[in-house]
Amino acid sequence: MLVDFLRSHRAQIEALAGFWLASGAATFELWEEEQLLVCWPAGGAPDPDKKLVGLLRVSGINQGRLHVTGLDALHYADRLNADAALLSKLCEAENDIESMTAAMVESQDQLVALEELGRLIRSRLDIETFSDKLLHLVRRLIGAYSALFLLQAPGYAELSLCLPLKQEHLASYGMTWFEQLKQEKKPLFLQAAKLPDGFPPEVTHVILYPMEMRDKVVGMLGVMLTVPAQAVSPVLKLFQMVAEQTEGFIENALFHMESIYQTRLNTTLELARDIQIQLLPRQLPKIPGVELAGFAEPAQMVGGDFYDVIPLSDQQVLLVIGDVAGKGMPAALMMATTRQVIRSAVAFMDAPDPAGVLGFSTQALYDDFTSVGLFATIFIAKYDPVERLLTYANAGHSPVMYFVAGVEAKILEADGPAMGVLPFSLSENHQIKLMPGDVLLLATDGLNEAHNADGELFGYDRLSQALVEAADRSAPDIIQIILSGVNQFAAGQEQADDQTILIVKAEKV
Amino acid sequence: MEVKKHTHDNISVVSLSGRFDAYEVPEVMKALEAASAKKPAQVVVNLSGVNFIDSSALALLVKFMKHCREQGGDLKLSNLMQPVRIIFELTRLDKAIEIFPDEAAALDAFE
Repeated sequence: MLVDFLRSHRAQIEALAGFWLASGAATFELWEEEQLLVCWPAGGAPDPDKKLVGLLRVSGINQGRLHVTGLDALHYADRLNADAALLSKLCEAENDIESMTAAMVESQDQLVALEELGRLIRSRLDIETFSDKLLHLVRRLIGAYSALFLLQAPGYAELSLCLPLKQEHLASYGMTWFEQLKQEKKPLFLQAAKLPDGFPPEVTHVILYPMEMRDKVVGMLGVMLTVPAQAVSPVLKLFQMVAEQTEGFIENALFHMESIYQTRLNTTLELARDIQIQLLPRQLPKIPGVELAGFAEPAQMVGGDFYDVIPLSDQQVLLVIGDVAGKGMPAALMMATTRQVIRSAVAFMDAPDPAGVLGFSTQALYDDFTSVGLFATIFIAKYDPVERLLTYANAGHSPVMYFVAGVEAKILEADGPAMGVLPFSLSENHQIKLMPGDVLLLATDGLNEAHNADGELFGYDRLSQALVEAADRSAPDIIQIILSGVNQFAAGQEQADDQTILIVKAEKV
Repeated sequence: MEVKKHTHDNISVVSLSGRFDAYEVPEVMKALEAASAKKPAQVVVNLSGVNFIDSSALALLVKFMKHCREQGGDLKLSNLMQPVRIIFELTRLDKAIEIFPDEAAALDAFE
């Protein structure tokens, strides 16, 4: 160390030597332990009889000595001690500057790393990329042997990283630590003695911070250190800051993902509702002797109601009304599928009859209904305007009402269960001859199950009553009257069910 | 909704009471899963306390009826209250699932 000091302050030490020689000294020498570092005059011979020694003590440790030979007066001894003390102080100051410079460089480095961390936290990176960069930064910032990160948030695939150690290390004890963090919800400090076997022996400390979101621990950030105990404290503070920032980032990222998911879900439901509306018949065919009118209002949450009107040969027409159990996407998808299968059955059969169509469709759709755990009530009717014959088959569906002009309204009951309950259809064909003024009402239970503020249901009786009262109006008017009756009854109560109606009115001659 | 379970020989009985609608489905599903876990899955669902049933509840019963039959057993219903009985008749689910006036009759039917 004195060698470096000599090198950087040779001129000043030489000036001191110059004074001593001018004062009559034989030699002025700088010694480190038993080694002569420098002598003025170069190659000079020391006076063996007279020697003065000044100790160079740097930071309380003897580093070397100044020798002056050829002089022995007391005032020269004092002077040499003063010179030695001055040089010692200078050497101390040099050492301090050196270590402060080193600390400053390290600080600068940390500032740069902190700034990068700040940018990283503010970035819109996905969590995987973020955590990879984070661990690299943490290791640089803290000088850690290894850094690890684990995330186990609901709706998110588990992520774990451990740099530069391999995943296997994290796998074996990482989960135990994580479980402990989940329980205690506070940081974990482990010292070498508490570390499990098989751990790299260089590691002296492991520090783990929990990442919390909404009061639950969803992840952890940790470092493994190889430093002596006294060096841990400053690291701790820095790491705590990093952990808190990281927790903030993770929370934001997870909230962000949740809201994206929610938006996507809402958009999907809206799309499904649009598709459902598109699948309803736009225009009803003109069938001799009868008036057709239809209405459908899907509920807030996409449902499974539908009606269809399929023209057949010879001016006949097939009418379908259906209600898939359940709400939301599964019901809407099964509705679209069921509607299509029924249409295909009708197109495929030579002379489609309602029971036959139900039978074919039931078999085709049974497996699908079973996988999604749903079923669909379906009513199918075929009208032949020449014979004025209405043939129908009913798989579990209601309400279907038939108003006999001048007489009464009655329910056309199902004789078989809904489609999808059994692998085959039990429903059979029944026939009615439509007389002038008769009205057939096909609806889904959003009508009779409409409720008012007291929780009372509109019910079959009121529906039947409304049909009887409206029966001599035109088909579209009948729909309007019944709907306004239902809506008046419900008096603004939000309805959970779709409202779907199809009216067939036999024209009066 | 209250859900109670007991067994009678090889038959699991799940007794329900209260309103059986979409919100109660998850809890009842757990009970039915447990009841139909062992082969042959023989289950009686006693609906003596159920005063309301909606299509999600019906769909759940149908689902487990199919499951039990696939496992070589069956799911039968007993003690239906009037409003629930009407729903089963209107939808003709009574032609797909066997319904009995009381638990004993349903249990006997498993012989």
